[in-house]
Amino acid sequence: MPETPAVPSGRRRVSPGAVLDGFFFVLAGLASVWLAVLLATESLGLGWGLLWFAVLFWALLAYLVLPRLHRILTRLYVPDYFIGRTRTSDGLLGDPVNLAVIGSAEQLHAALAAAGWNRADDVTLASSWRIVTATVRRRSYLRAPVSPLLLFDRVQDFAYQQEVANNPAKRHHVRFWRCPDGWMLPGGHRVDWVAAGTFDRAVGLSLFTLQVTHKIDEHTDIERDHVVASIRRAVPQTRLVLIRDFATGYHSRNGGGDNIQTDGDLPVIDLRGMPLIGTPPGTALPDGGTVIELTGLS
Amino acid sequence: MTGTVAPGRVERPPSVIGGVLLMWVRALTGGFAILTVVLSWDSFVGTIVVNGEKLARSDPQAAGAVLGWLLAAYGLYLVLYLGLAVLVFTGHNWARVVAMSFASVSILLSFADYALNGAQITLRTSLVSVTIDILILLALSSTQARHYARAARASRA
Repeated sequence: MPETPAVPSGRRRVSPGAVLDGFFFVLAGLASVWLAVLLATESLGLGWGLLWFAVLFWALLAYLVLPRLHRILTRLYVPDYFIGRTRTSDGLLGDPVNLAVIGSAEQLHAALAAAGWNRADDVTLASSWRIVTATVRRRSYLRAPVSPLLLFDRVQDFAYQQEVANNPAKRHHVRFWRCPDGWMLPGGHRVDWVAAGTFDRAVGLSLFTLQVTHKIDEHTDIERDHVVASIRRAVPQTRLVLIRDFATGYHSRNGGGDNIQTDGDLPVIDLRGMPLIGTPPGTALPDGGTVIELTGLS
Repeated sequence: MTGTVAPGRVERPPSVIGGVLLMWVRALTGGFAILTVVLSWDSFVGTIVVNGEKLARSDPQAAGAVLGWLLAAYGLYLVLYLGLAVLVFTGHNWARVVAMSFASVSILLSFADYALNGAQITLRTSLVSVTIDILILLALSSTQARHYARAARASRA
């Protein structure tokens, strides 16, 4: 066997500061559970004030207590290397990674814009407020923000979406992460971007944190194929490599507790043959527009 | 968005802003308590007990002095606490750790009282202050707050 490159061996050195931080992190989690108990006890003695307390209690539970507990627990049991799933900011498993892209950022942005996708705004106080009001009043918000999901220990680089029925409750959306340098998909395929495309079908409560969030359609393959088809229509030079059974068909839940069903195929969208406006044509791929299937041993 | 004091390119996360605001609320409620005592000075002087005896009866002046010193010490603590909040806001990690330690000690004392002595923690007693302490600890111990303090330290170095 060839020699493996140097990997940091043994346990990582843990600094006292990190231990202290971990202590406060867990203590705060336990204290927040106690606070929830105190509030619940207190609310029993209130008449109509109970209603206000119930809302307060839910907010505390959904936005402070449960996320903190999930963060403590998922740190212990969810692997932080690539398992074909993104993670929510609370560490829970999120949308599946079901797309990959080869090409520069410019090519990807241009292809998505040509295919009728809108770039999502960053999550800020203003954009969050706007998506809430737009959803409640059934107004259109083409660049509505998407929630942060993590892959490679960081939030998506950008996300694109398509509104359905002119309001942000239902929408197609896809998040993109740039792969770390030299990183390869399991199986040894080198790609520049990986992406997670899912369809938001409604607004509801998350199963695990009780937070208000989008519920996704369980048939994530439909959304994946929609993204691929829209780009191939808009950019005829797209070469498609279809890695069959990349993630064997699994039935699972995302971070909001929604079911996911997939055939496990991973389409790799190769945009290297796409010409960009204002630059000399790049290396036009001879097999642009074709589909190449990669199947496993059988 | 959050002013020009943000160190480097690190943006101050909402958890730090929220935590610091809660620290100010905590200090202000302390200030309000001092004001309450000052406004009804005589009745509070009467409650000071030394060696099982009410001091105001034997030596009213000494009782007043004791209360004055107590209030002054508490006031000084509140002022230092406000300063600490400012340092947390500007991203000093040690200030964050000290603030979290204060909150932790206060929470643990309340919890010990609750679990061992069966103290009632309700809106009429200490529920509000316990809530604020727990929220401060939650906010300042969050990953965002930690990253902010670390990044701020790195950019100062």
